[in-house]
Amino acid sequence: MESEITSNMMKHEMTEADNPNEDIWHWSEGSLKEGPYAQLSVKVPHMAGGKVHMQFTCADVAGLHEDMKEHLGTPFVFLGESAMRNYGVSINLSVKHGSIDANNLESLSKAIESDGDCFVQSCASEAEDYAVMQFRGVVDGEDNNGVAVKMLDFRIGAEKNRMLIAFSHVPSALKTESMNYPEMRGEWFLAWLCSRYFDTQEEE
Amino acid sequence: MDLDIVSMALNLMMSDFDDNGNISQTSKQFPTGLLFEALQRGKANISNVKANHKNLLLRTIDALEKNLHINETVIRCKIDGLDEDIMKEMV
Repeated sequence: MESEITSNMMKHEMTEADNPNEDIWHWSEGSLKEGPYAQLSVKVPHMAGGKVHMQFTCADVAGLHEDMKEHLGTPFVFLGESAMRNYGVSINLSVKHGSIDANNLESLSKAIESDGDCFVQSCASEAEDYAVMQFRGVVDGEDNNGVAVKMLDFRIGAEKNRMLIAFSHVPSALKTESMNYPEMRGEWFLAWLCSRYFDTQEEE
Repeated sequence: MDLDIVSMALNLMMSDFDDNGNISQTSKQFPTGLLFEALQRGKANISNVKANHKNLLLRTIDALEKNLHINETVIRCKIDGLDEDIMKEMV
């Protein structure tokens, strides 16, 4: 049995680090900060600049990090450094400067800000400029070349605010000569998180 | 003037692009997280950069986005009740 997300994700193959270092997985005793439940949120002011900075927290952060080690083999995510945080994980995505997607992302940030009452506190600071991303499922879409893709459907702050993120066309990770560990692509890692924490529909 | 590592990386890539028309050599010297920060710094300074450097900055931003596979990222935003044309006018 596979979920609609996992059945549309590119297969992940574990790649060894050039110089494995166990320390990258280590957190000092008592430093992890569990959330009450699984929650994905996005930093709204950054959306105006074309950047989607997301925080994910859950009730078992240590378990999440252990699963990343066991199933993914790397804590590193493209466009960031280690995805692991004491509250869970962090992911960055970005859209092309000056694109319609960037304009629409900015418009969405303004719409969310105009609502005002949907902000939640950052998992990492006192700032209250994040909005919850509620996962609604997988929908069909097109990539930037008009090719069919599967997209994660989120509602941000309010039911009318939609953000669709394509994931099916993206490889799980990249490893170049200058990388010690492979780095997961943000869209793929986001789909992996959603499949584990939010996706309740399964298909045979 | 003090330059932090992000500005230094951006300046090096602009220089590389100016000399060679690409950033393939300098981009290998930095982790992708830092390249991404440099990209954000560049985008935030488009309106502040000297006029004769603006085109170079824009082309370096384009090269950075290709290097970081950002042109492959697809994020569509919609506000129910507004069509895309209206959303564009809001910007």
